[in-house]
Amino acid sequence: MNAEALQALTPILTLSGVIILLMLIVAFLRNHRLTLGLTLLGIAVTVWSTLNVSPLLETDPIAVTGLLVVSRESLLFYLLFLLSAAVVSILAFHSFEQGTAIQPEDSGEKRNKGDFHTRPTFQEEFYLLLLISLLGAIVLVSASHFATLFLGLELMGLALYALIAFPAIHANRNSRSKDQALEAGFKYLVLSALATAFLLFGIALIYAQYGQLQFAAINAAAAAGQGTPVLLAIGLVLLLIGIAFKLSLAPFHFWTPDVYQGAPTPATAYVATVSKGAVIAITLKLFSDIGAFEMRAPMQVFAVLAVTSMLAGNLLALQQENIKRLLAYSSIAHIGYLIVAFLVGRQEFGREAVIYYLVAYIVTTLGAFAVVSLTADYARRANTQSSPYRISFYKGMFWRSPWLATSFTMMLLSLAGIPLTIGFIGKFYIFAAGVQAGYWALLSAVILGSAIGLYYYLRIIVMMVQRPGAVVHDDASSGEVSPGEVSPSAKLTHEGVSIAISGQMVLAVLTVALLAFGIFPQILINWIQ
Amino acid sequence: MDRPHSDAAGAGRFLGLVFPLLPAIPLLFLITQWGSVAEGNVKSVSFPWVPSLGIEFSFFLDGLNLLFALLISLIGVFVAIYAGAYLRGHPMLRRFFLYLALFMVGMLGLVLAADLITLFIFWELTTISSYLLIGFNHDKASARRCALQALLLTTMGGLCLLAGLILLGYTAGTFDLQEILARGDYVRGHSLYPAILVLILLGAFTKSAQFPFHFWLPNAMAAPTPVSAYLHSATMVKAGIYLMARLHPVLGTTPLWEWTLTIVGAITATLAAILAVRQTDLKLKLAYTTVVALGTITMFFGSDDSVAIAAAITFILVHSFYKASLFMVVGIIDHQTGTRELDRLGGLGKLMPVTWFCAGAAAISMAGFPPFLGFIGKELKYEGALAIATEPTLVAGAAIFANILMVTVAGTLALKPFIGRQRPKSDDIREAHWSLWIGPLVLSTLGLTFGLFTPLIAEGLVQPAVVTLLGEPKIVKLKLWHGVNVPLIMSILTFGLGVCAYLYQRPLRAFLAFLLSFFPTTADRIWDALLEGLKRLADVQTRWLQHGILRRYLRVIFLAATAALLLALIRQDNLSLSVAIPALNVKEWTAMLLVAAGAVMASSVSAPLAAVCALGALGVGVALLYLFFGAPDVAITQLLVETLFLVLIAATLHRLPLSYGRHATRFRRLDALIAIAAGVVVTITILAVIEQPFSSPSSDYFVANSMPEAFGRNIVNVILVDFRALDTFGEVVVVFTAALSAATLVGYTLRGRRR
Repeated sequence: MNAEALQALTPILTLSGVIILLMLIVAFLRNHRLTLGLTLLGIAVTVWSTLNVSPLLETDPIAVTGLLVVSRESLLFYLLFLLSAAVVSILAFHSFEQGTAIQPEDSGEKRNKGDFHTRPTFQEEFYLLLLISLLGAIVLVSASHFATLFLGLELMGLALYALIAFPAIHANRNSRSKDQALEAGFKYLVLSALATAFLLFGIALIYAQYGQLQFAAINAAAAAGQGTPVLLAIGLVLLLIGIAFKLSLAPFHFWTPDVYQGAPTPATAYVATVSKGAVIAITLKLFSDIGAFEMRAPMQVFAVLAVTSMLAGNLLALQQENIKRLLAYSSIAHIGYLIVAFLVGRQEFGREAVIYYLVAYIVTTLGAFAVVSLTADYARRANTQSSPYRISFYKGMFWRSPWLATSFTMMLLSLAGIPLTIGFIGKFYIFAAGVQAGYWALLSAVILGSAIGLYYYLRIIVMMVQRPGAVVHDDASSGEVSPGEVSPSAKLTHEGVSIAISGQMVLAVLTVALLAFGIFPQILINWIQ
Repeated sequence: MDRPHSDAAGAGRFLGLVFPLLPAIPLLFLITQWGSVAEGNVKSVSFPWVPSLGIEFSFFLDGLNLLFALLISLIGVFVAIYAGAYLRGHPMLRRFFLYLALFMVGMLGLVLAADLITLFIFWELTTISSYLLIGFNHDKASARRCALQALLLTTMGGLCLLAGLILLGYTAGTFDLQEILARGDYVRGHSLYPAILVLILLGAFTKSAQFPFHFWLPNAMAAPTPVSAYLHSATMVKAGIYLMARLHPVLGTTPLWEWTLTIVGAITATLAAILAVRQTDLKLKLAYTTVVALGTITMFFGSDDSVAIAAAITFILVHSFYKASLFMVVGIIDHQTGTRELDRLGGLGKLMPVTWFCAGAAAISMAGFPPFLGFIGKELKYEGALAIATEPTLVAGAAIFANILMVTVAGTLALKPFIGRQRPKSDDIREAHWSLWIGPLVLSTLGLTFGLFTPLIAEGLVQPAVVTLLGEPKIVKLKLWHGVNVPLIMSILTFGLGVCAYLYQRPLRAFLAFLLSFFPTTADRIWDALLEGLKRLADVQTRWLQHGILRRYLRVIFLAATAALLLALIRQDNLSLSVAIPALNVKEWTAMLLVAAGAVMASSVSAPLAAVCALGALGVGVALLYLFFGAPDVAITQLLVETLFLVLIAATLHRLPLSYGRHATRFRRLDALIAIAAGVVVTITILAVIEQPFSSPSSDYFVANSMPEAFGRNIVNVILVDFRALDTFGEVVVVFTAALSAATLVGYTLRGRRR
């Protein structure tokens, strides 16, 4: 390892250092605000070191031993994940301050005001776990060896189990939140373990074929032979199944809604963005490194998974009344769209499409969860009657808090792929990639899925635009209101949703990014290229 | 709104005066460009936008879109004046003007765009802003439903359009509209042509309310009247028409195009004409006549005959003028009397003479009386209909039928509310403010007088549009008097029958109602049923897929994984397996028996602890196999893990809220099948592994070097203490750290308990 390689490694080293430092500080001094500050500072320092590395990579990526490769592409992902983690930690801060992180669903149980302060809340550990998981993600996207891939994936995943089940150690005994969080964490653990088993078996088969675990070496060995060797193909399919779990592609998606719902919303945002993004990034890298795009079987499996995800995800989201579950299902569909571009990943255009869509997905999803999380915090503070996670809570939002509603509308429009948002350019990429490759069946699934998707995204927007003072005639034939719905806005306070300044800033930044990259996509495309 | 009412109203009055200047700017600009464009010059301006995707932000101005842009900005000016008066004092007037401005920008951008993606972006902008405008004033659930319906339909159409445009762009090799227009032959010859055509037409048909998507337009009449006057007569619904006209040189002239447009247009026109006569709500009546007009235009675009195209273009012009002013007139009536039900109106002519005049002038244009532009348009229509190659009888028949009913509707609109007894009886009814009637007055008068300046219209507007549309020079003559010919006879017939229909309106309406009662359903209902069906499908799927039972999830997961593996195996052409009974001795058979027995036991017992024990037996069997085949270290690890696992599970199992024996174990056939399938597939995979001659470079290395370099015979030991000594050290550190933290945790708990 030479000095250059060591320097290329600085982001990972910095982040590890930050984690150890934070762990030590937390051991002696528990202060929520300080922890958040240190987390953000640590992320900022890591961002700085990442930016410092990038001039090194003007020409070639740097291989650090045989295990890691740092390229400009991986630096882009570093930045993306670091910034997402910063957003998540700010959301988490608000969530903990209001107690929504500890008790996502406040199902009417009596809660004493001082409850959280008499018992230890361990909220500082959340940031620690978040950073550890982030480290896993960063290691994962720069892996060039199956060992690092596995290590990164597991480091990311292990921290996630704890993040997801975080309310379980705090909430009142036998409360619904506790059960939900436990269930979410447990389901994720069990299914993740199963996925890991598939993944490992796949890796073992690939190793059995060539006796190599390094991507480049496998590619060299594969290029020397002719045709696709049996074990490599089967190994890749097994690997894909493991990956499909992590990406929650249908029919390996079962954990998604329960985990999204049960976990504290900031953790959900993290699962939906960074964890999935890292897996997609490494899959793209792995496939192009070992030349898997030429192999029929894995690609066909991926195509089938994409179609089922697009259709199943959108259909499942259609009737969903819980906003977190809705976003969970819609994320399944979005990863399905992304896979369409992924299948063209051999070409430069496909790679670009995948990365662009991924950025669009992460920015938008993060924004949507930020709105949900901050709204829930407000609802907890204001002690509203109805659950803030139900869609009906957003009824008339446009009139009560126009800025929040506008920003949420932008997120939803972006998810629906309407022009002038980042999501539109993403969708354009997907269509274009599909057209270039001539995947007609996949494209029709994209169109069909997006058409269904429009319905539930627009439904929320329409709900937000509804006037709060309006008398609600919910005649049975009316299309957009389902019969069993709780009668909405009347009981709600007519005041706007008030959000702390830092939360507002997070939303503003995300909305601006969403619009800026939607109107001037060339900037982002240049970065990707 | 956070501002007090009066303040907003004051600002609104000011805005009402200033806002009309906004569309006046493009109007003046267009008029300055008119002369040069009419001579066939094309102006274009372009900015690089997303060069790496080949997308530009570019606009151009030629004969065809000049016509549309002029209409949009001219009518925009008058609608803006009208809206300022109509919504005076409305607390959200500013917001309304914002939406209206957005919409105008969208509409102008749409018709002027010279890039497919630019066009699409403005297309969606009109969709969104029109939703905001339609939904501007609704409080009722039914109105919300209609707004959502319009939004959904047009966005879904937009989605298809986007796919179609991207397909077209990649087929033609560019997104530049002007270049694409030059590559029509190539595109038509391409194998993707039908897909492109269908997708783009779906977009155009949904936007322009063609059958079977016609129902959203009447439903969208929940919008405030200025919105209807602007969006639903002159502009937004013409976006689809514009798209068809624009892409006519690229996609047109094939049988598929001609038949689709002719038939869809004819059905739309006929159906909507019947529905228009049936209506008694003035605004809905107008909405249906708009659908008639759109259908007629679509029908004519199905041909590439210059007369038919000229007829369509002239009709677009005529229709925009009279329909916008009629909408505004209905708005005035509604505004002044508070109703727009035909049966409750009458005798307003004396009270509102200017309004009556506007209504009359527009209606004459609509009915197509000579010597006005409407008449010329209609004559041209009949001439064009007869010239259409595909099915002249069908087109002419549909045109005559639609026109007869148009005459009836026109008569109803111009006469019914204004003559007879005064209804509703109220003293407050008086003529509207000038700012309300100025728009319809100017527009309807223009519609009338254009007939007298036919050369200006023919050469200045229609001909350039026809020429650009067809891509070849054509001379368009608009004449009032053609002499006695077939179109004239058809015209006379139209009038005669139209007047008859007007006179016998009530029985006709009753007859139509009777007739329509045979139709079991309407498109609106079908749409609802479709949505309902989709929702039900979603419900069923959710129940079927997302039931929350982990065991069933696992079933699906294993099934899918097995299928994927099977696919991978089938896809291999060089898969060869050699199966033979292995030569094993007794202890090896025993170990295998232990494994098999453990598996069978684990799947058949009901108590969790017993199942775990069975799994333990299985694990011990596997460990024995490792031992027998020369991997004692792996065997030891396996044994340790199995033991530890069993102890841990046994220790925690009794604390878990599990119900024992509540469900008797029954043979689950499906699960057994899946398990067997998975087992078979994995076995084949393992057999394939055996086929592979395995050579690991690292193990060869250790075998060769352990003795000479490290002086050790036990390779595993040598690896641990010599070759990988540092790794071993690291592992030891990790174990110690883990032990330390465990000790801390235990100590913490114990101390806590003591306290």
